[in-house]
Amino acid sequence: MLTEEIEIGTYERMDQDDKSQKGQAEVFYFNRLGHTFKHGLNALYRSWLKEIGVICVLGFILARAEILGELAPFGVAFYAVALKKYRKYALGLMLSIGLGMLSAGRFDSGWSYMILLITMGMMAMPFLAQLENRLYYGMAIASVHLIFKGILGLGHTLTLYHFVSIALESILVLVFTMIFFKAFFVIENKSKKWQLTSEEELAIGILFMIVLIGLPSFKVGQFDLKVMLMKLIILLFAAKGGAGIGASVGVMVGLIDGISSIFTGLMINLYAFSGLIAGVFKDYGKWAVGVGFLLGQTILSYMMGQQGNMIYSAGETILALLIMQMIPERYMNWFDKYAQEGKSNSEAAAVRESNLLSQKLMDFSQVFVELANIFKQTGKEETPPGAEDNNVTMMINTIAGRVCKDCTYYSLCWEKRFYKTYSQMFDLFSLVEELGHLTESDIPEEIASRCGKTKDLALHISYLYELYKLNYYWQKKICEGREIVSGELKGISHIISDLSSQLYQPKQDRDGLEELLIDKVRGSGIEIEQVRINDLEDDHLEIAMMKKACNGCHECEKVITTLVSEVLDKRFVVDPHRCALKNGKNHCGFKLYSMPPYTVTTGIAKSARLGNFVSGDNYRISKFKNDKFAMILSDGMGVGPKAAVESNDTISMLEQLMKVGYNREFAVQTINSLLILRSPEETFATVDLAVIDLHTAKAEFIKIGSSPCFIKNDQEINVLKSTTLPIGILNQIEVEPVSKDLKPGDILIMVTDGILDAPKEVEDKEGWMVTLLEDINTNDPQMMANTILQKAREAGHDDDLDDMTILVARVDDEYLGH
Amino acid sequence: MQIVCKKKENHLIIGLKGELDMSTADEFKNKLEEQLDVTGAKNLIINFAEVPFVDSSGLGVILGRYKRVSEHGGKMGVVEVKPQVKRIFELSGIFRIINLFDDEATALAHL
Repeated sequence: MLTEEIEIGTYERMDQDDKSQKGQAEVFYFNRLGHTFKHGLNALYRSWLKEIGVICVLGFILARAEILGELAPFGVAFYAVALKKYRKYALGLMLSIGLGMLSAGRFDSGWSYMILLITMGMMAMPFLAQLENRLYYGMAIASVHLIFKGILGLGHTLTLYHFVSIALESILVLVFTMIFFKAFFVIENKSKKWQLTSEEELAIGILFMIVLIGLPSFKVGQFDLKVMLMKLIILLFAAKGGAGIGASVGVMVGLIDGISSIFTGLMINLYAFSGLIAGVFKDYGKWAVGVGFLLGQTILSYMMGQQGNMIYSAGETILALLIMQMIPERYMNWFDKYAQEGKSNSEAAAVRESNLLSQKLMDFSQVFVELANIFKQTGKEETPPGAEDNNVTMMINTIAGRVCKDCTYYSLCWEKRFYKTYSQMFDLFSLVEELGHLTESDIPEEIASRCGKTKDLALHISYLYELYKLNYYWQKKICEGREIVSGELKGISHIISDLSSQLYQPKQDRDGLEELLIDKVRGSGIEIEQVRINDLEDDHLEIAMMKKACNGCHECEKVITTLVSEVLDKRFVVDPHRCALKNGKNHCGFKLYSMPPYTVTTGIAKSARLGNFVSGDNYRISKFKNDKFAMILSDGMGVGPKAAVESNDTISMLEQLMKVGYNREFAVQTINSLLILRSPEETFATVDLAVIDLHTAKAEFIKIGSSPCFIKNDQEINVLKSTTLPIGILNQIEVEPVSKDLKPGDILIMVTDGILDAPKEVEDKEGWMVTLLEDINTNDPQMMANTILQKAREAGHDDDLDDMTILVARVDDEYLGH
Repeated sequence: MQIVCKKKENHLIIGLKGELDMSTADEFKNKLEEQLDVTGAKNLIINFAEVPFVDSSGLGVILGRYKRVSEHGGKMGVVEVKPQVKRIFELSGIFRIINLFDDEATALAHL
């Protein structure tokens, strides 16, 4: 029941995400790359290199980068941005960028750049520094660049081609200045959110790309280390992300490679295809990924007629593969983690959304609280009539108007002797209040002697009093109704706020338990990929796991469950409804649920009063979602079928309310309100409720007008009594829950009054019951229930027995098998 | 079951004889309702001197009368309750709302 009803399905959703992600592979690639890169840079930034080191090295590399063979706007753009932020490092920056230019072999422009940078550095002091707007700043830089390059170009023959390329370069300077501003912002980690916006991701991705372009290609013999690095990146992503990611990273790297020299589609094809094939082999380990990459590369090189380079190219691939193999698992996991973090962006969004939703729900709940308060206040303000003199005055006026108006003595009574008459009338009302009804003879002599209309007077006073009583009755009813509505509103607010807190459960690894579980399970040779622990309620845990499919070996059931049970010291079961085999995937996601350590075995015996087919008693035994076991016993206080309806209504309402999450006390209050509202029909019922928490064996009892219940174990028998009125009588009932810690082997016996009242001549009914229980040797609940019923019947007279119901529950320790 | 009714001032005093259980509860209820209507009494006193047993339907009738009487501002008392019946009353919490008196005179004096 438990596992069927809880629907969270984290991994199911993840699977679906995967499908939709394929279309947006590029976006996610950027995303992941951005994160990996961002964290790497952050770490570097905080190390001994600190600001200047990172910035100068970045400047050096970026200055080297050029696209389409001759456009190199990156150095200037970077310089412009860095200058704005770190003016004190201007000289160092200038040197590193200039050196970068020179190292890339652009000697002619290298020197000219030095001059450009110095000029800009000097200009930046008074003028540029004042430009706060980034766009204007970028435009200023681009203009300086354009003018300077133009002047320099005058020395050469300035063709249209030159002019266009200078203009284009200047525009690119503007564009990249803007991009680098964004990228800097991220690298400095000023954006404290752990989730990057797509703009920031893009900026970081572009920076990364340019760094790759700018990296010098060190050739060791025929092996190009830069190419090797690119291949390594593809391999890593293919090994972690699969075919889709492999291919898209391949496209990216191919683009970088192509863009930095003469643009051809060839390299893109080659890397993308290799990345794709490599990714296909993802599930067979890193070596297989490498083989896949080689395979893709070989096929395509062969088709493109580049067999000549194949040996070296293959050599680079193998080297990259070796490096990947050498990366310790620890670092691979680090990489994995950041890749995962990128992936879980949508999850973060979900968390934020649920957070928002829960906040909304909280607000709603607050609204209900307010409503409840308003109802309660208006209920209080209107005190029942009669308390104030207003009413009496009104009634006396009515009498004067109706009875005395046409009387000849009117002016005598109501004008000359007003106060006397008034107080006499007042006394008459006190009299009718006492007697309930007035006749002519009830009117005191003092009044009768002066009044000529005593009969009329008595009639009217009785009538007005009746009216007043009726008014009083209904006003009180309305007040009660208001109070009940107020209570209900409060209850609803309670449920909503409960719901909201259930919805918002910040994900947190409980003391690194998730990591610990991963280690443990991996230690047993099972490739577990992800573990997530969800706290459901109290001690109730749900563990979601993702692993490689075992093809029906039931590793989850046979190995993992035992391991997890050992680690967490709780019994766990696998959710049997989810097996990856059904999905036909090679991954499987499943869930483990903590099994409550206790179980309850029950026994029931019941008999209706002789000659009656309907019993006034009703009972319900149910297990709730949160591993709470409830036994409810109710005795209707009416006669025959009516009593059965009372107790049945009470019990089904109680069960329903508890199912939807009403807390126990409040559920009982609500039913009380409902029974009262249902008047004029009289409905009273007793409630005997025991809720046993199967995780802690703690039992909570609510007894409303019910018979005592008994707890028997090897040593003693305890009696639990209450003296609360049955529900349906008072507006506000005091529910007094009693808690008791049960132990395995404890037996709880709940009976209706029919049992205790069976031996009529016995005065100490509880004593009688205790003796009866002491004499019972079995600890089988059903046999016990039967025996109690039988003994109760023997003790009473057959024709004089009430409805009888016995519920017996034994608490067992599931772990030890009682 | 025998039911004897008398009215003193605005008190209705009921004397019972026999068990108040499922078989007599309805009869008792009808008689009480009728008497309350006719006499218009405000308070209700029930004498349990000769009632050896009350079951849940009996309790239901008593509680129902309490509801009616209290809604009209009246009070209710039970007198001369036998120990075994007193135990049932105690368990059901009736003494929280209905006063217990030794005899009718005390009840009349206090209500």
